Amino acid sequence: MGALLGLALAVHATLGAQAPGPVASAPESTLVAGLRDTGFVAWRDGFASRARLGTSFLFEDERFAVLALTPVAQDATSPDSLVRAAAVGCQRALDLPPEVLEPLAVLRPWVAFDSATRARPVVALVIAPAERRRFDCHAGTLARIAAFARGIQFGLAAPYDRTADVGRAEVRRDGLLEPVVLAGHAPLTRVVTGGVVRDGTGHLRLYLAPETFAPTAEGRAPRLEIHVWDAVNDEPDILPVPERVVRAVWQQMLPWRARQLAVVAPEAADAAVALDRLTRWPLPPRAETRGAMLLAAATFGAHDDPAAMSALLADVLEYHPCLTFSAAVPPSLREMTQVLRPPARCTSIPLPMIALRSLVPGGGQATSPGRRRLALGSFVGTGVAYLAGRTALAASRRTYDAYRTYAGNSQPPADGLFARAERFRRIGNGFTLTAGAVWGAATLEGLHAEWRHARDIAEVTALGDPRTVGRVRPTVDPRGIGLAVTW
Amino acid sequence: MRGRFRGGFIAALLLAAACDLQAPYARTNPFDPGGTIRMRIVGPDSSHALGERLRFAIEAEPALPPGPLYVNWQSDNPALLVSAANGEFVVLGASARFTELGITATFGEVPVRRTILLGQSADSLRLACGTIAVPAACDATPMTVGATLDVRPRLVDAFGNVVRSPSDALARAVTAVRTAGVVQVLPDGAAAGVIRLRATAAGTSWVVVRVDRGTDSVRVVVSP
Repeated sequence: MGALLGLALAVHATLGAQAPGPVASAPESTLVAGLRDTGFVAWRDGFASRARLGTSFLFEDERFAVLALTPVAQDATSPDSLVRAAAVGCQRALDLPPEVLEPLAVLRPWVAFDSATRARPVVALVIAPAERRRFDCHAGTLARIAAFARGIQFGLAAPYDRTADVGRAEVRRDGLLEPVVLAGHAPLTRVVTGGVVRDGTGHLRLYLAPETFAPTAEGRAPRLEIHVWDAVNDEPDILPVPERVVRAVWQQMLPWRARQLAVVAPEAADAAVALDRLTRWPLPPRAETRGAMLLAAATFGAHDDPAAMSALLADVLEYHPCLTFSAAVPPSLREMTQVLRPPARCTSIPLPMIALRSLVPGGGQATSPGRRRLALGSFVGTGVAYLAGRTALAASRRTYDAYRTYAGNSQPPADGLFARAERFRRIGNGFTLTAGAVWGAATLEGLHAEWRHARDIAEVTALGDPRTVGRVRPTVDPRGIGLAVTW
Repeated sequence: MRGRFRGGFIAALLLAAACDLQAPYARTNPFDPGGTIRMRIVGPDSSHALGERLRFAIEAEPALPPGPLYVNWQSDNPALLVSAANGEFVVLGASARFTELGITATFGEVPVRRTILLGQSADSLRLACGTIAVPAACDATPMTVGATLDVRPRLVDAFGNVVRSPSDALARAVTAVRTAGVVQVLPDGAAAGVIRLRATAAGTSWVVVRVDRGTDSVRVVVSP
């Protein structure tokens, strides 16, 4: 699959990080769409107008921060209005003169690079010095991300530090150097108290092919590291990309990957439509989501794309670890399911047994793995509440005994003792009822969880049986493309 | 089946929790102003002698707490009836005229009241004629028909004290003339503190007088 995509890559791109060194401040080439990328611009435009927002993740170490932007996220953060909102939001906090706001809003250091990569699915990594003395004055997280994507940071002034300046960077996947489609350098704009500072500090962008984020054939997310050198030292900072970021980026590129597949294999069109549907509002029901992902997994598997198949399967198995396929499903899918299946209890316990175990508070929860903490919480909660209730009631009875034997020669007086006894009684009863409620709620929760577990198992057992498998039928919906999946 | 089991289990759970709750307490302490205990003073309804000691007690439903209780006993007029000890009073002032007097037992701020009759009753009676200085037997000087004779009583209560205000005691007196028609008991004598007889026919008769628990008699002679 990587070879196929490699054929589609335009040859005009500069593979910047293969030879780490000075990076360009303007794109040296323009990426043009290959055969399989035809229609990508239209796809991302439709995504921006009708679908959910793209995936953008910000992660950092002590010196550097990295923002990962999928093409859809690049489009979502591109409007000047977001940066303008961030600048206006920070105007008061940083005492900014009005005349600096509009220039900030139209500051587009990456417009040439974005334009050069627009026709091709690439993931941009924005690498900049970490915001150490940051002001959270932006108008929302998206505005901050939009500003960060343009190399604009809001915060207190700090002297130029060469060790915090980004020199160059490279990406390694499972230890091996990854080719960079395009790389660029631009000055960092620091918005500080009273104005804007450009002290020569820069930031980088690396444009990567989506396959950099592709899972292994076993469905495991690759170990991605970004090595960042400052302007002084020879040793780079190594920023591991969180696994959830890797998976999320890859997931967002899958609909387009299915479309690419459909270009050469028309029978994959259903999978493309199904995955496209998952990216649009409103979110489809759970069963439909699962059906779409399995359909796409089967399609990818049938067209020699085990990485995409295993990634989708892993995602489905994360929520349905007990999923099994019938014999009618291709063996590769069944075998991969067995390989990827996370440890899980795939049997159900009769509800009367759960109720019996719940006689010990939390016993119902303790039955399932991964719920021990909840079980312990139920047990401790019930116990603590009950003991507190017992203690308060014991104090109440002691006080009431003192009230009953009060002979008129001590303090507090009888009515004071009675009021205290009643107060303790109410507290004790309250705690006792709380203990009962926690106990009862834990029992109900245990029963409900087990019932739901049994239902979930039944729902995903022997999927693909010819007697039960349904149709995947795209339908036109005013809110987007609908997908009806019936098992 | 499962639904029934679950319902029964929850019901049992709630029942167990409910059984373990403490019901509201009863306010039964006599010193509690908001209490619901019913109390009354029990003891004698009246006093009959000076120096008499009256003992009262508290009867309560439910029962009072065990052990000594710090109760303040008082009468409305300590000059007449003084509290001597826990529920015990001593009569200091009383007469043959019975009057109402309140006594109070106070539990902290909770009072319990009762009213008794305070007075003197005659325990013994001695009748005599003549003067106070020189008493004489009533039959020593025969009366003539139509004449009157004042018989002076001497009333003493159970503690040997002379009954004060004897006229009030004589208002309760019962007299009897053994030989009918010889003398007549006049009603106006009681106001003067004497038993006044009028001779109506010649003869001899015993006149018997009873005041409270005291009884005595005198013999009168009427000559034609």
